[in-house]
Amino acid sequence: MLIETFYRQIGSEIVTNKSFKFSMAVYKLHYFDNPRRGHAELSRLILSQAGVPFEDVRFPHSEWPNMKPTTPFGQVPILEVNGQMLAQSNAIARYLARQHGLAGKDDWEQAQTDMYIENINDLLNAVAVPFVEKDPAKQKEMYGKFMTETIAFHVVAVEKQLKKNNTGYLVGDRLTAADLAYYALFSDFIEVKFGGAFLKDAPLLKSLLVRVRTSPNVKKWIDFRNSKYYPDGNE
Amino acid sequence: MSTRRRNEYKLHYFNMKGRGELARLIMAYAKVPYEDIRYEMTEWPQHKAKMPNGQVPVLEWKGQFLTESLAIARFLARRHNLAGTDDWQWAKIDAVNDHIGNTFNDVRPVFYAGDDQEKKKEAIDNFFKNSVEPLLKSLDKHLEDNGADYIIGNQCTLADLALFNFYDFITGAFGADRVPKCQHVAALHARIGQVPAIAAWMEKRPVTPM
Repeated sequence: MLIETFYRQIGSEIVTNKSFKFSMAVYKLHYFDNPRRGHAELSRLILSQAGVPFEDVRFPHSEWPNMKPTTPFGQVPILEVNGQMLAQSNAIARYLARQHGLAGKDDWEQAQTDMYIENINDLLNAVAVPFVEKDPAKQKEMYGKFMTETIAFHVVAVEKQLKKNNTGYLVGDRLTAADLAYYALFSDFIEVKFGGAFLKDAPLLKSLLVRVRTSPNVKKWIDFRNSKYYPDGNE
Repeated sequence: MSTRRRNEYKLHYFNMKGRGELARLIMAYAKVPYEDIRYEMTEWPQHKAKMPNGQVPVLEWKGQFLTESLAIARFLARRHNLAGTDDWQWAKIDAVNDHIGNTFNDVRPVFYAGDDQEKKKEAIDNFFKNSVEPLLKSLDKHLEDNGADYIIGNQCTLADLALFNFYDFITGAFGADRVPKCQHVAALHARIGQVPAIAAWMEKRPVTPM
């Protein structure tokens, strides 16, 4: 039965919370099987935090040539909802956040949630350059610059915003997709790759990342996905 | 018009089109008055620290600051009837706008080439072949499938203005001859350019290289 498949996919019972909405929409999120987080992870985090079942389709790259022409812009991730397709990782994330109570409580908060997701997008675009650099010495130098300039500057700016907002969250007084986006980049990628030293002067950001990571539904997802997709440890 | 209604927004940006122009086009189309603040490069250092991210564009609204050009565009589109008729439609408009935004980013190697003419030519060729052409072709198909007038739905949305902005940028920066011939895209660009509010803005806006 279809619902059972979804529950088995995420490997645990749904933890209901105040923002849970039972949706008649059946979500299928399509992405490559590698990278294992990549541009799909923010949407997976959003769906998990919201307690919404979804089919987490991860297909091998060999299937891509057949799939590509069926997508709106020749790219994945794709969100398939009742037979219709939505492209662009952040448009998908924003849609899911809005549908499931994770996009702020009014229009301005939605814009701010948006703004923070864009910040993360900018940082991802910036780190993509060293990520694809083939020369190891050059790559090391570029990563170094990324951390000491780009990230260092941004951490100061976001710490200031967290202080100003004064709720422990980036937007409003509760967890939104903005916090999940910061977790996805800063914890899942930067802390893993470069260590946590960059957080030493950013106690609010540091505790936000911990708050996200230990939030019950997010923690369930992280534990499940790590054991299923990174049996040899995180990557 | 009451002074309260006048200049609900202030847009802070450089004196260029760049990442500020989409917000300006939205406000022009929606006939929303705003203060179009433009910083020259020489004065920018004094103002940089005032911006939350040290960057522009920034939309100032009710004393609060919103950064990130696309977050600004979406906020304005939602408030001024350019976000389609339902949430799924808005998501699709969002996706088109993001796709165009990503293609905009692909132009950067052209600027990194600097004065190296050969490298620059190669970068431009790559940009058109690998980014511009696939984008315009796929949007041309979207237009055709949707009955040719608008990219999504039955009325002008952020997606159409974003395409107009992109088309305007590449025509201005690289010349109309370089732009791949896509029938419906070109027609959309012409049609939006003729909307009185847009035509008036194009006439009035400062002429800048980018």
